[in-house]
Amino acid sequence: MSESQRASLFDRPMPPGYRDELQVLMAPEHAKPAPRRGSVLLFQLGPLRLALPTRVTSAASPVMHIARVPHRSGTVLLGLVAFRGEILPCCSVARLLDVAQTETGAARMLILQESPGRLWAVPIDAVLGIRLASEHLSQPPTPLLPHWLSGSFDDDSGVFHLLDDDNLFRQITLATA
Amino acid sequence: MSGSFEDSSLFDLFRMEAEEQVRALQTGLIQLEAGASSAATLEAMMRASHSLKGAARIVGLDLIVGLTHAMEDRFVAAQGGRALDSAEIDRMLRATDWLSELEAVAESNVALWLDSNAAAIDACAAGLHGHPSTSAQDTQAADPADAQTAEAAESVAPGSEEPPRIRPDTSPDRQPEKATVASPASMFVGKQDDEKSDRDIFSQQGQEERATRERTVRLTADRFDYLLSLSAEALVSARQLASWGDVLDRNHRAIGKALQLLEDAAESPQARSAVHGELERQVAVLATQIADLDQGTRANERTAERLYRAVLGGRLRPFHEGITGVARLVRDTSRELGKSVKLEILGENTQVDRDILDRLEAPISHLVTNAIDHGIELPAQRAAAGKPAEAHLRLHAGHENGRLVITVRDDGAGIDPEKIRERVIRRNLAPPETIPGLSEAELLEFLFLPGFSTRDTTSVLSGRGVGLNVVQSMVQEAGGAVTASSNLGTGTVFRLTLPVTRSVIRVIRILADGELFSVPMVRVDHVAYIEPEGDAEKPVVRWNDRMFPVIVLASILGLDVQPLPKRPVPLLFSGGFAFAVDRFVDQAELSVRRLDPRLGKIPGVSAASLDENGFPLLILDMDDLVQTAAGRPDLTATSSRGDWLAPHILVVDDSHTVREMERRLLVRSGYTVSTAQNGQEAWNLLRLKEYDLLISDVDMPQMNGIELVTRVRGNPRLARLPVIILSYKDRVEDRNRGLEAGADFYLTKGSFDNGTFLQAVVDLVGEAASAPPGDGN
Repeated sequence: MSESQRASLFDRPMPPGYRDELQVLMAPEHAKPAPRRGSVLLFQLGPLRLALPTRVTSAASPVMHIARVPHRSGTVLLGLVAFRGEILPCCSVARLLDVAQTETGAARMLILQESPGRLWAVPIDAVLGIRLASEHLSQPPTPLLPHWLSGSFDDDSGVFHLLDDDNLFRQITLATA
Repeated sequence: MSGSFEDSSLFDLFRMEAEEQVRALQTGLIQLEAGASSAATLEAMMRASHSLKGAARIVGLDLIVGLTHAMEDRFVAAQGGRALDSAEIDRMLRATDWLSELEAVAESNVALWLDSNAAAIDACAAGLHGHPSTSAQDTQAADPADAQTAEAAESVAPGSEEPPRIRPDTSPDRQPEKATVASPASMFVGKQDDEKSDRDIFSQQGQEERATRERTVRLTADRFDYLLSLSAEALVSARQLASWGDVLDRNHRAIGKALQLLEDAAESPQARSAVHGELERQVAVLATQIADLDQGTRANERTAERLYRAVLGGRLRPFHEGITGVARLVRDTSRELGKSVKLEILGENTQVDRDILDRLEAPISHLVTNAIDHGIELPAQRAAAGKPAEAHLRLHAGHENGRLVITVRDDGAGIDPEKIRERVIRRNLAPPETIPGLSEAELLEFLFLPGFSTRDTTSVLSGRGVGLNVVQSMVQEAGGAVTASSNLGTGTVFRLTLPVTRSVIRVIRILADGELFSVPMVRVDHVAYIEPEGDAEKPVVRWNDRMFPVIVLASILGLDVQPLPKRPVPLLFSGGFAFAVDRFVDQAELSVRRLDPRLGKIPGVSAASLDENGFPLLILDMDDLVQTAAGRPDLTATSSRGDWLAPHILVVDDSHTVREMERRLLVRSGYTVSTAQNGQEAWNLLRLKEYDLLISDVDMPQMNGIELVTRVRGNPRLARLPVIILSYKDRVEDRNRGLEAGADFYLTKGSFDNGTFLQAVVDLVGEAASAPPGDGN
C-alpha cells in the first residue's frame, strides 16, 4: 500500500450499504450482565445466620479484652478494644438487633469498616465462611428483623439473612453517640 | 448600654466570646478568600456571627447586634449559593477588626467608642445587606479599599512634587470584575434527596475527623536520617527472631527424635547412652540460644527505646520559640504603666513538646501582664521600700522530675493574704467559720476562681479577675497545673507544672469495679490507705488535719459499687476529695491517644491508651470527676434545705454569654443549674443525669435544639421532661417547629424578658424555694 493509499484509507467515501449494515449489527439489545452482589461474609450471631458484604468486613479477630467505658458500656456500646494498634469502639449488634447471643459468649469479633478510617468492632459467635451472594434475594422469611435486612438467600447449609450495612452503621452511630 | 444586666462581668464574658468568635471568623474568611473553605467553614462563620449577635444583644450593644446580624444574613445567603466576593470579604474582615478593637476598649469608654464608629459600622452593615451607603463618607469608611484610595489621594500635600492621583472610575460599567469566591454551597447542588443528605452528614463528619488527625510535623533531614537508620536496625533485629525460631525448631525435633529412640530401645544401654549424649548436646544448644535471645532482647529494647526517643524528640522545640512576644509585651506594658522592668529569661533552650509550646504564650503573657500591673510597684514606691527602681521579672523554664516547670517570678509588692481573706468574706466564697483557719497557700488558691480579683479598680490590662482563671484553664487544658506563692513586700512566684510532652504521661494505674483505669500523676495530690469514718452515706477521712469527703470512684464512673470495707482503703486525693479505689496497681508511662470522637465527651474520661499487653486503657479526667463530685447533692450545700432539692435545670446554648446570663438568672432564683454547649453535650448529660427542666437554644453545632427536643421526646425516660426553647428565631414557622418537636414553651431572645422567662420556669417546675410541683404538702 502506497503512502497516498494509506492516507486516504479512512477518507474514502462510505461504501454502499455500510450504514444499514452497521445499524443491523448494533440494533440487537445485548443481554445486560447479571447484577452482581459481590461476596459476603457469613457469620453466626446467637440463633441468627447473618451475612454482610465483604467490602465492609475488614477482618475477624479473637476478642481479647473489652475495656468498659464509664457511663456508656452496657447498652449497645460494650467498650473499647484494641485491633492492630488502634483503639476501636466495640458494639453489640446482638443487642442492637435484640437477639440473644449463645451462652458461651462471643469468641470472635468482626472489624467492620464503615468508611476509610472509621472502624467498628462487633462481637459474633462464629465466622461461617465467605460466599458469592445469590443474585436474587428473597424476602426475609423472619418477620423479626425486616428493617435490618436487605433480603435472604439460600446457601448449601441453609438460609442466611443479608444485613443492610448502611442502616446498620447508621443505627450503630446513633446508638453509641 | 443596657441597664438590665448590672453585673459588669457579663461584659467580660462578651469580650471573651468576641475574642473566640472573631478568631474563628477571621480564619474562616481568609480560608474563604483563598478558596480553601468548606460548607462547614461557612456554617462555623454563620454560627460565630449568630453567637456574637446574641452576646452583643445581652450586653446592650445594639450597633454590634446590627453589624453581626448583617454578617449572619450574608453568610446564610452564601450558604444558599450567593457567593461572597472579595470586596465583601474585605468588609467582613473590617467588621471583625471593629470587634477586635471593641474587645480592648475599657467598659467605661465603650459608649464613646461606639459613637465614634457608629456611622462606619452602620454603613458596613448596610453594605453587607446589599444596601447602598447613605453618604460618601460612610462609603469610604465602610469600604476599606475605597477608603485607602481616598486617603492616598488626600495624602498628597499641597506643593508636593508628586502629581495628585486620580481616583479610579467606580461607575458600574467601568468597575473591574469582582473576584467571586466559590460558594461551598454549590458543591452540594444535586444532592438534595433526604437519604443522600443523611449519608453526607456522616461522611462529612468522617472527613472532618480525618482532617483533624492529619496534622503535620516538620523534621530536620538529619533527624529523619537518624530515624531511618534506627528503623533499619529494628528491622534487622526483628528478622533475627526468625533465625532463632529455626534453631529452636531444629532443637525441638532433635529432642523429639532422642525421646523416640529412648522409647523404642529403652533397654539398650547403647541407645540410652546415645540419647543421653544427644540431650546433653541439645541442652547446651538451648543454653546458648537462651543467652543469645537474652542479648538480642536487650538490643531490641535499646533500639526500640532509641527509636521512641528519637520520634519523641521530633516533637520537641526550644522554649523560646513559644514566648517570642513576651519581651515586647514587657517593654510595652511597663512603659504604658510608667514602670521600669528588666526581663530575664532562663532556660530558653529547654525542650518542650510543640503541642504544649503552642499553648504557653497566652498564659505566660497573662502572668507577665499581671506581674507588671499588679505586683511590680512604681519606681518611686520601690525606692521608698528600699528596692532598686528597676524591677526584676524572671521567666524560667526547666525540667524537674520528668516535668516541665515554668516559673514567673517578680520582685514586686507581693500579694497581701489579708486582702484575699477580706474578698473571700465579702463574696461569701467560704463558710465564715473556716476563713480564719485558711493557710496562706489555701488563700492563694482563691486567686484562680472566676471573677476573683484583689483589685478595687479594673484597668485595660488586669484587675477583672478573668486572667488567672483563664491561665489555670489553659494550663489544665495542656495537662498541667499552676500554683502561686508570695511574700508580702518581696514578690510573687507563679509556678506552672506541665508534662514535657503531651504524647506520654506518667500515671498511677488503679482498679475500680475490677476495671483497670489510669490517673495522671499530675492530678493526684496524695495517695494513702485510710479507714473512712463518719456516716456510711457520707464517709470522710482525715488527712493532714483536714477532712475530705470520700467518693467511691466506681460510683462516680457509673460502675457497680461495693460498700466501703471497715478497714483502711486505698485513696487517691485530688481537688479536695478522696477517691476510693479497689486497688493501686502500679505506676506507668502511657502514650496518650485521644478518645474516639464518635463517642462524644465521656464524663470522667480524658483520653485512652494501650497498655503493655496491647489492651485499651482509659485515662481518667480528674478535674471532671472533682467537678462531678462537687456537684453531687449529697455533698453540697443544697442538701441543707432538707430532703427536697432545688429543681435541677439544664441550660443549653452555644454562646457562653447567653448561657451564663441564663444560669445567673436561674441561680439567683434558687435553682440548681448545669450547662451544656450544644445539643450533643446536652444529650449526653440528659442520658446520664436527672434534670427537672431543659432550656435549649435552637441553632447550635453538632446537634441543634430541635433535634435535641425530638430525641428527648422519643426517649421513654425523658419523654415527660419539661422543655423550654429560647431562640432568636422568631418567625411563626420557627415557633411551630419548636412546639411540634415537643417544647412546652417557645420564647424568643429578641423579646427576652426576665419575668416572662422565670414565669415559664415556675410554671413548669415550680418555685425554687418551695416544694416541688405536685407535692401537696
